[in-house]
Amino acid sequence: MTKTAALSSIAALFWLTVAGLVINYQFIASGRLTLRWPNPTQPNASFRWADRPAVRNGQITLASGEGATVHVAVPRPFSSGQLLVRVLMNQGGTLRLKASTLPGRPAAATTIRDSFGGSLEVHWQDLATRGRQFDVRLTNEGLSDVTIQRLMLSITR
Amino acid sequence: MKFLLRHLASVLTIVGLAAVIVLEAWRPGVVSGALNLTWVWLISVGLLLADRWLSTSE
Repeated sequence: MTKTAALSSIAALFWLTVAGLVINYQFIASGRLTLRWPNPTQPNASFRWADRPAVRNGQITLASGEGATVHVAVPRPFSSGQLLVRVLMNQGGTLRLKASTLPGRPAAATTIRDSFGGSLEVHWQDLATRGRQFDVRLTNEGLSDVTIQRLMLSITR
Repeated sequence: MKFLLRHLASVLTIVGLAAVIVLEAWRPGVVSGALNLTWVWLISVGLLLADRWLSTSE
């Protein structure tokens, strides 16, 4: 192979790689994207604990007054999303969620109160970030333990 | 035709750069969102210079 042919091959490979990355990004950037964290005891590509909370009976459990921060990495910036946290708490349990959001927007914060016991799902609308990373702070403000079972983030646009 | 084939690396690079500029002008972020454009410029300049250097050394 001559030097010219080798250089042409390198150029072709480079531009094919650029085209592949752009096409792949377009698939990620368009449409709805759902990121799941089925087992919060193990970090995955999108979710990890910034401060590892206690694990009891194989599940993340926040005692009364305890808090933990989830570090979320998304493949693209988004302006609208929905965070779903499935928790298990006893009667009187209270969990507060707060996330970093776009400047100028009201803080994406909500409080779950479970007066009946059992598990519940929290739909958190209008979550938005400027970058590809944001933190979600979970604080147990109730008197009983709260177990974090799984998290799911849906990015809509 | 023979000239184009001999300088295929430069031809591919110029066509690729033109495509990047057109795409970015049409919809900003299409390419720059997927990868760092600085590296694209640097590698493109490297390819053009290498092709130029090869043609003068032969």
